[in-house]
This record gives sequence, structure tokens and C-alpha cells, in this order.
Amino acid sequence: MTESRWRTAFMAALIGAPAIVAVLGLTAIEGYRLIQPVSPLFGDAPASLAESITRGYGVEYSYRFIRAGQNPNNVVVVDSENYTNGTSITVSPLMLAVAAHDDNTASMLLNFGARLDLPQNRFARCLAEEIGDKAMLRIIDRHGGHELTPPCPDRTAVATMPLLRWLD
Amino acid sequence: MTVMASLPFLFILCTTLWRGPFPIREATGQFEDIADRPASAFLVPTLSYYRPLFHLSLWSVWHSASSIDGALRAIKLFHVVPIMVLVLLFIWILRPRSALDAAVATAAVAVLVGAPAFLGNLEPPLSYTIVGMPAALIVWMLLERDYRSWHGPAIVILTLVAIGFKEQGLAIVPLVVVAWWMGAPGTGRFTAAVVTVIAIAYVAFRLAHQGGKGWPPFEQDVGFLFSGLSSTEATARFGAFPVWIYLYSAASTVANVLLSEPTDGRFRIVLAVSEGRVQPWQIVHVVSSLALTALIAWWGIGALKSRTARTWSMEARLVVAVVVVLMVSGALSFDYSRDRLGGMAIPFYALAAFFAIRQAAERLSRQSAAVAAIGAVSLLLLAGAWQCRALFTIEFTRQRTVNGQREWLTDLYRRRTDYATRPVYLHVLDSMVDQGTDPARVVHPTRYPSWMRDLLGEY
Repeated sequence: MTESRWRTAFMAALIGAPAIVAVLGLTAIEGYRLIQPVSPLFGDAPASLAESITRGYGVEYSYRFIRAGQNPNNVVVVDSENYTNGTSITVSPLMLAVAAHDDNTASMLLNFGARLDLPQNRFARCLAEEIGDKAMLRIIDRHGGHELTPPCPDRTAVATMPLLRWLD
Repeated sequence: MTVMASLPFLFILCTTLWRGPFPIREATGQFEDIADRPASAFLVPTLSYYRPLFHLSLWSVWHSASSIDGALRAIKLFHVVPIMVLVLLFIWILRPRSALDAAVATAAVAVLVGAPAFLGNLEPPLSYTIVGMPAALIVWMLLERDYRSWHGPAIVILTLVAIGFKEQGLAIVPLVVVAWWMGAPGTGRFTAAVVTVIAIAYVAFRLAHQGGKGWPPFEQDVGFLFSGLSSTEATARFGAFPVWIYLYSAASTVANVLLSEPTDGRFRIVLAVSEGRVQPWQIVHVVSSLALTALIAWWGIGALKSRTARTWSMEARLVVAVVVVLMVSGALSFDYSRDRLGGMAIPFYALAAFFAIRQAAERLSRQSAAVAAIGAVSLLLLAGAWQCRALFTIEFTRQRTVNGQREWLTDLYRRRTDYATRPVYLHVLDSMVDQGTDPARVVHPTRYPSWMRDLLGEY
């Protein structure tokens, strides 16, 4: 092979190398996705609705539990340093979403069956008001929160964490 | 080799689009229109937006399908099929005959699919320009092949299809005319005359149907330097004499194709640099575009210089085609600049990239060892940067489907209440809930290591 042809082949190898690396990498990654779809490389899935909300997985992960049949009004067990001081409590997913400032999940829960007139949800608006989440207030009010929520009682002495204060 | 290197990318991109949900905002309104109105309603322009063939195609599918699910699947084909045709036809036109050709073609495919103007047109059901892009490429292929009597009718039909899907299809008209003028073998004077008449008739028709009071000076938000203006703000600021802002928007679309900056008329990367918060991917995007455009300019000047007084080489014609389609795409985006509006120019830019990189590689291989080594590493970096951008197209498209699903999950109630008086809208909305919310329809983007994400971009 002449030097010129050798150099041309070398040029071709270098120019084509990124495409070969990309195609091999893509094929390997997508093959791995088929075998192990919940690997951290693709976003590990939460074990429960409560975990999905408290650890901020996102609304699409929270919705999977509702779609799988979990009632959005049924209480879930939570023990989180951020929301319950590590104490184990039962709380509705909506209250938890409000405490977590998770507008998307709160919207989804209300869209897919959460009811503001139920005891476990009726202070969701009060909680949103206390933590100053105006976007959340708008979402709750769009679903009739203003009309369905009783006047918020003074609970400042009840507990230190906002979520614990508004548990019914 | 080029096809093999492109197929996984093409497969992933098309399956992402095929499975992904239609966005609640753009799709439900469109489908309400086609479900509710007679086909003839789409022939008369009542707004400044006029895409009769796009709407008639969707209308035909919607009203002939046995179910809404079936219609939705068929409408997805208006995206998936043009993308496959575009990429495979692009490779077929290049017809790599050597190892160097094949390697350079893989880089050119990355340019095609990594360009913002390609990514901007991957939003089902808005298949306006993604249909026009392969149509333009087929026209180019016919123009450059030996003349056949059916070329003329085929070119005219493809031109009508592209224009019927969106006015950006008008870019094909000057392409045909200059190709004929430069002596492209596949067309003749009559075809050039017919497409010119079509363009004149189309523009006259559009101007004659402005809905009585004329079009507003700005249809959408306008990007200007480092910020954006709402259409109301833009009217207040530029409405009295909008020519300069129109020129700015047109130039922005052209610059976005050539330099990846500005985006939507806004110099976001320049602003990031000036504020000291520039991201690696922003450097990758601008430098890869800048380097490739410089390389294309170098090749283009050479191709134009090498033509004789009477004959234009195919490469010389391609140089003119890139410039003409780019200018027309820019001109047609005078009202506001968006990435997607440069779409018609991208196949030609990518074709030019092939010839430019190949010529650079051939020249470099004849230089001294040191120059050849430096040049080869430079081309490696350029090809690598564009592969990163092609990967970004996949991950961004995936994220867009995730975002689309989020909107379905969070916006459903508001839409039901806001559109409570529109039964057709509600019927369409309810029929689409399952496709919008099914978790199996979205594939989350790959969580690459942070250094890799920094190189790819924000998605």
C-alpha cells in the first residue's frame, strides 16, 4: 500500500471512528435496557408511591402506581427526615405531594381521582397556604379546593413539621 | 457500512416517535379541527397559517380509519416514514464507494440528524416540514440524474406536496430554477417554468386571502438579541416599520443552520459566554457548526472556481443549491425565527458537508505527515462532535415524549373544564387519554455520566 493510500485509510478510520463508537455504544446500551430496564442508567424506579413523591422521582413514576390500581385517596406510610422528622405516619398521597411542593404529582392525583372533600385530603389547601406554595394553591382551587376546604384552624402549636401539623 | 452505522440510530428515533404520546396541546386542537370540519374548509386560507395538504392528509386518515387509535397510528406514519426516507435516501444519493466515502458519509448523516433544524421538526403530529425535507432531497436527486420524461411531473408533484404541507416547501422552486439554469441534467425549461408559475400563483392566492383585515405583523413571540418579545411587545416596538426585525429573524434562521446560534432569534450561547456560565455542549454545538460551515465554504469556493464558463459541476450546483435553499428558508421565516424553519436547508447542508469533509481528507492525506496528522485529528473531533449532536437528537426526543406524558397527567382536568363547551374536543381528548398516559409509551433518556451529558446538551 502506498503512503498516500495508507494515509487515506487512516483518515477514513479516524472520521468513521466516532460513528462506530456511537453505534456500538447505542446498541449495547439499548440491549442492556431491554434486559435491565430499571438500571440506574435508565432511571431506577421507586418502590412505592410515597417514595416516588418524597424522593422526587417525578409525576410519571408516581402515576405508575395509580395506573396499576392504587387508590389515590388511600393513605400511604411515610417516615422521612424531611417531612416527618423520621417518625412513621400515614398520610394521603395528595398531602404528601403538597408538602413536597410537587405540583405535577398533586395535579395528577387530582386528575385521577383524589378528592378534596375526604378527611385525609381536606387540609391540603391549608398545608399549601402555610408553606406559601401559590402554584399549589391554584391547582387545588381549580379542583374546588376553596369551596371544599373548611377554614384553616390555628395549628402552629401542634407540631414542628408542616405536614405533621395538618394531618387529620 | 454507512447504512449499518445509521440503522440503530434510525430505529431508536423512529420507535421513540412511533410509541410516544401525541402532545396534549398541539394534537388535540388539530384533531378537533379535522374531526369537526369538512375537508373543503382546509382549502381556503382563513388564517396566516395555511397547510392544506397537511390538514387534508390528516382529515383523510381520521375519517377513513376504523378507530381513533388506528387514525393516531396512521398519523404517526407522517413522521416516521419521511424520516426513514430522508436518511436512507440521503445515504443512497451519496452512494459511498470507498472506505473514505463511507466514513465521511457517516459524519454527514450525523450532520443531517444532529442539526437543530432536524430536531425541531420531530414533533408529531406537526409533520409540515419533515415531509418537505425528503421531497426536496428527491427533487435534488431527480435534478442530478439523466433526464427522463417523468422527471418533470414528479418534480412538480413533489413541489406541490412540500408547499401543501407548509410554505417552506417553496424553497424547492428556486432550487429547480437555478438547477435548470446551471444545466442540471434531470430537468428542463418547462419544469422550471411550471414550478415558477405554481409559486407565483401560491403567493398571489395567499395574499388575496388575508381574511379581510390582513395578517398581524407578528404571529408568534419574536427573539431579539438576548431576549424574547411577545407578539404584542414586538408589534409595539417594531410594528410601525417591521422590515429590520423581519430581516433579523430571517438572518437568525440562516445563522442557526450555519452556526447553531442564535436559537429562536436569541443569542443564548453568546449570553452564556458573556455571563461566564457557558456549558461544554454549547461550545460543542457552536464550534462544530462553525468549523463545518468554514469547511463547506472552503470547499464551495473551490467548487465554484473550478467550473468552466459553460458547465457547472454537480458540486458547483450543490454549492448554489445550499445557498439558495438556505436564503429562501430564511426569507420564509421573516415573521419569527425557529430552529425548525431551517429544515428544508438541512439535507443540502449535510450533502455539502459530505463533499467538504471528503475533499479535506483527500487533500490532507497528500500533505506532510505532521499536517496530515493534525488534520486527521481535527476531522476526528469534528465527526465526534456531530455524533454527540446526533445522540442528543435521540435523548432530546425521548425527553420530549416524557414531557408530553407529563402534560397529559397534569393538564387533563384543566382542559376538560376549559373546553367543556366543545363536545368534539372533549371526545378527541378522552379518546387520546390512554395513549397520552400509558407509561409503556415513553422511554426515559439514558442517564449518561455527567461528563457525557455536559457534552450532549440539556434534555
